[in-house]
Amino acid sequence: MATPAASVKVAADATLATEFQMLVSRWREETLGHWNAAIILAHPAHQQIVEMGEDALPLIFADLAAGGGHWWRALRIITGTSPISEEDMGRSSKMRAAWLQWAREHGYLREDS
Amino acid sequence: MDLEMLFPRLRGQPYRVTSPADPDYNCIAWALGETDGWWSPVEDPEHLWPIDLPGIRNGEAQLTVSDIRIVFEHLGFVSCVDGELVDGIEKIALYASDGEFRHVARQLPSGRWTSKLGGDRDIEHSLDGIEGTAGASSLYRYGFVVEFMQRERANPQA
Repeated sequence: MATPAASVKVAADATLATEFQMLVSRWREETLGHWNAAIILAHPAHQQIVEMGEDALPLIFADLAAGGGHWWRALRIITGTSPISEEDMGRSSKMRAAWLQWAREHGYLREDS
Repeated sequence: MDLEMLFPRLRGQPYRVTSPADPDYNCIAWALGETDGWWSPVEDPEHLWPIDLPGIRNGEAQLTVSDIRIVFEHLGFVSCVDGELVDGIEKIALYASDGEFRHVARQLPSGRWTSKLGGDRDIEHSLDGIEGTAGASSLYRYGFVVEFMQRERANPQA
């Protein structure tokens, strides 16, 4: 039986979101106590999220808006850009604000979020 | 996870959680009194790192105690003999396991110590409370204090 296209899209999104949440949980659980970003960013779950590409952006931005961290490399790779000014580089709160503003301007987050 | 599971030596000792988990800063930032940056030797410009160390910048190597000593010297610290409280002096304690730098704690004006546990919580603790290699997660096995460093305390209340 053929599946309506809209249902397929919803199912695919739900599957992606579930997979994303599982990867984020594993990534955080297996790196939380470590100080070194080299270890954190080399984790396979982070790599898998990066490989999700643009489809992962709404999920990453939602997590970033909720206070999640260590998304800078993934965002830079997936989007091919960075909205962070040179003077704000390295300052987590400023980098989060810059990326969330970029997400609103590009339709990945609601304007009021 | 329960802190006493992560750090068995905390059992029976006074300690307290002083902030919730926060991915925006790590133990090196906290040792410097900062809460808005993640100090780490990776090439990504979003991370803070004060000095190039051969073979370290790409994150392909572990940091040794010698490496991290150079980093903190660059940041204004000098080695000292112990963690005794000295008026006007701020001390840090470097933890290592098998020669690999694993953690840094900062001494409070009270003489107690404060730590940011990776992206996890801040806690106030004794020096040996977070020592050891028997915790429930290898991520939190910081090893043992191997060196103390110090600088003048900028803010006596911090």
